[in-house]
Amino acid sequence: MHSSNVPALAARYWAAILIASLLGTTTGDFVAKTLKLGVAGALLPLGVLLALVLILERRGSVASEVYYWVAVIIARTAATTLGDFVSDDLKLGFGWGSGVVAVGFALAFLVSRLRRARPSAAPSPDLAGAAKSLPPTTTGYWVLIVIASTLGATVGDFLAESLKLGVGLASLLLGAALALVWAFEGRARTSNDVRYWIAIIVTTAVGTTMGDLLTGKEGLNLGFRWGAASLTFLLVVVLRRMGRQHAGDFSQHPTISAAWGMAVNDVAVWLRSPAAIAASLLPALGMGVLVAMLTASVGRQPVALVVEGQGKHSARMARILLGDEDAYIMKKMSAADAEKAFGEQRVAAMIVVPENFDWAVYRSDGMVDLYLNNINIDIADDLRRAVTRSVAEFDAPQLGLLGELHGPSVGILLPNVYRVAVAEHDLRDTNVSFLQYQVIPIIVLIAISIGTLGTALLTARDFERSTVKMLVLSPAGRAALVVGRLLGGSLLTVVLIAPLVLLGFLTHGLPFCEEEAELHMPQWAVMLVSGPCGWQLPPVRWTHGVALVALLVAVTLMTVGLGTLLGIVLRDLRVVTMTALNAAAYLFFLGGGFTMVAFLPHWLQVASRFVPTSYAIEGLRQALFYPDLRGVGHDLLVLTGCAALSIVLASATLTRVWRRA
Amino acid sequence: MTASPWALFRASVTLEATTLRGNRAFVILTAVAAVSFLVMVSLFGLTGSYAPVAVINNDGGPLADRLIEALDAAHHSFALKFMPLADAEAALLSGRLVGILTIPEGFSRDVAAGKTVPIDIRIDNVNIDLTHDVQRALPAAIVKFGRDQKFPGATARMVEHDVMREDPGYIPYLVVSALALDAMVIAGILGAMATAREWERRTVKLLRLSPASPGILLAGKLTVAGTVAAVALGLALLVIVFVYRVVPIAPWSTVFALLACVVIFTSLGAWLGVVLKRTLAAVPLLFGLAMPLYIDSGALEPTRFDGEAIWMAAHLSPVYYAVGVLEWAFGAGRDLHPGGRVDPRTAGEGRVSMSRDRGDAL
Repeated sequence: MHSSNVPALAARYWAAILIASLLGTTTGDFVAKTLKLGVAGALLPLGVLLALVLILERRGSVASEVYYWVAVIIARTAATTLGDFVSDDLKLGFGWGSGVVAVGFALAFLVSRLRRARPSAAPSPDLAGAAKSLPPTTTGYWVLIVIASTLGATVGDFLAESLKLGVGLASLLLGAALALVWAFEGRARTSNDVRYWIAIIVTTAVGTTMGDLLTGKEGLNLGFRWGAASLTFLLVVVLRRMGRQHAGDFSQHPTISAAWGMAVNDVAVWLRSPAAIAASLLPALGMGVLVAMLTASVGRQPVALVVEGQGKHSARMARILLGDEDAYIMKKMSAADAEKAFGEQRVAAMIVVPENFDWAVYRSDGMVDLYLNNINIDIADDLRRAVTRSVAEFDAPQLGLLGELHGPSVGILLPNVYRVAVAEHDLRDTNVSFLQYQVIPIIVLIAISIGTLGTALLTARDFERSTVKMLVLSPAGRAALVVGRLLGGSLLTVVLIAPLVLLGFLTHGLPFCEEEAELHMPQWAVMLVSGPCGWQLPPVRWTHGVALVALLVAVTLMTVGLGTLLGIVLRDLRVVTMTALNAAAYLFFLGGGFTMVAFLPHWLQVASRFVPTSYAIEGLRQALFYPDLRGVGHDLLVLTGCAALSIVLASATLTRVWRRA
Repeated sequence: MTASPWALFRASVTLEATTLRGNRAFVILTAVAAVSFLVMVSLFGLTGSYAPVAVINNDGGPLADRLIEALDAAHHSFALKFMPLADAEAALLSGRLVGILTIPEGFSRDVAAGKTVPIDIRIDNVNIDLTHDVQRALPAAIVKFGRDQKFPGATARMVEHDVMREDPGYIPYLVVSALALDAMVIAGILGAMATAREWERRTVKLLRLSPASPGILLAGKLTVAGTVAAVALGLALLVIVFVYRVVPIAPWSTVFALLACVVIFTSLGAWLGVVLKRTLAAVPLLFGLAMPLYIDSGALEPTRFDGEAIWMAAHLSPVYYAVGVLEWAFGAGRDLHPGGRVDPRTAGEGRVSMSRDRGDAL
């Protein structure tokens, strides 16, 4: 292509290529699913069309970027078809398909680099010190565009479908990755092919999931006609309206440049300080370990079963007790062994079906003895409930697991001696484990720790090391520096929280995290590899994903503002650390870190209404575990209000103290 | 002229005390952390039982009332709430209720007539622990209801023999062990600060060049740190005695155990300060370690319930022994402590054997 027909590598280019990618996904789906042309039937005309556009561009006398953008859309449309071919027709699936296409891309890229390295190849515009530009748009470039787009399509589908994140959440996660890639690209002063192609792959991956979100039933359900029309309109607007300045070049915007510089510097300072990292992460990680251990504690307890009776009733009672695997880790033992285990506190209780049980049952006076170590009332009550239920099952089978699953809830009612049965209806198909349930408060605690402590330490450090004077003397405006400080703290928090949340969703793709998975390896290895499974978060719809992100952003901003205020007021690293750790602990526990706030006494429930984290934890649990977003709007409103208040206060105070410094 | 060891010690104490006076905010915050831990474990203790469940009583008859009484008495399981159905549904769908239990119309009449009547329960199974509690508590309540009404036909029942005559309160049980957690964090932080500060202020070179014995100087510094930690722990102890009303049955053993904890953890903190050379790094590390060590110390239950590996690992932590001694001294677990042994033959009489070796903890 003539250089006059090729757009500059700037913000406008990246915005336009994202929209073109969305449009290409939409047209690709239309070709594949509506027209049902098949791979050959689709690729042939698309290839011819692409060649035609490129020939027209070479012969055309009027300079126009239209050729380039039309070619991109056609290439992206072909890539969608190719992606389906690799994953479906070749039956590689999205995971292996992505791998194969990635290898293909790497080879094509290497060939293209080798060709360009020859003396006859066209020199890169950058060699002459020109502004950033696209790689030479030769035939090889268009081949790479098609393969890179195919790779983006399979990666996007892999995240959305194979990992079961759904197109909404996959779009959010890929969007975050794209923001990061664009940020790097924006900061770079020269062109770089590797960086460019990574950005293209991520952009097309986002295009795939967002395209499905726009037109598919899981999202806005615009359909092809409305989707394509609105995206074409948007593309035209972007291409006509957006200026041609270079992406990330803030030289024409000194305020943005200063703010960004301050933020990046803060992140770099924090990352260079192991003590600050430890201060932010260790207490939260300790709490995570505590929760994991607590999960083991609150779950099933070890119990010894002694069956002294020899008759059929004793055997049946033993079967009932042993069958309730959710309630106990039960071991059948001899009386002597059970007494020893109970005495050494290796078991929490000893259940004895006595020798005369059968005879007593005939007299309607059968007794099962529960020897209970009631040192911990919570565990003791769990065992009392469980054993009572098991013994009740003896006379009323439907009061046990049988009744839960196939009893009155499905209309089957058997008479029982206690004359009351239970028809249970669960709100959700699968239970959420205690550990899963506790992941949310831990994420909030990490956000509080990093946001508050990280920003507080950065702010206090300026006072302790007198670097605040340098900031005041710098030509950058105070407003820019204040924004930079808050942006730096927010970036820190987001950069550390996002991978943790991502890990929570990605664990669904790990085959050994499935309940029925059996690992044939030593126990310690099983614990090691299945550790991340405990972090598992359930897949959510895109609306819930948006709510999740909005809540986390609000928490981040709130804690960053709070941290800045703490740093300004205390100005001493040690005092800041202790205060922030104390504050984080109270915010965590009073916010319902270990439970639902509704479980606390009324006065504590009232108190927790004044603790912003309670809204964060409540809102995040609602977004993750519940079918609708009931109350999330209210939670988000409160958090946003708190975030706005803390940011405004922090900005005003920081501006004032820097003025006086 | 060389100063006497005693004079050196006094000088070190005076210097450290002066430095700490200059760090009043830090010391006060450390003491606040001590009380904070008590508050935290109390909050945790409040959450182990009484699941909020709405009861919709469409019957209103006497037997429905008896069933509600049985539900109320079912092993600290339910916090029953009476509210209109619409409010209950809204609360259930927003996570403020664990379940909605509906007693159908005609319940009393049908039960009195000998029919089996299903009661409907809608459970928010978002938290498996709570779900199981409710699923198991309902049959327990139904059994109690049936037995109270003397319905015929039941052939088997459970007879309970408890090790303790009365169930120990959960919060008193937890706050006693939280003292060990306090000791670790407070004494550890102050000990770490006492040594790390020498590197932070670069005065460690002066100490090295000084003819004074480093042991005596360190003893002086740690004496002050330990004293402050002891005062903070004393504050926490007073809170336990006068606010929580948990009084030790062996006061001198309690004091001795706490002082031993102060000595051990101040020394450990000082070592950590030397290794890390930064208070800022030592403080979060102690906070981070405190929680897992606390829970693996038998603070919530005898550690052996969690398996032999965790129990063995617990023996490596001083917090395990500290919790054991404190629980014994407070009588929170009567004679039970993490390394303890109970005698099933006396269970049910509210007694436990002291035949075990208590040396494990003492």
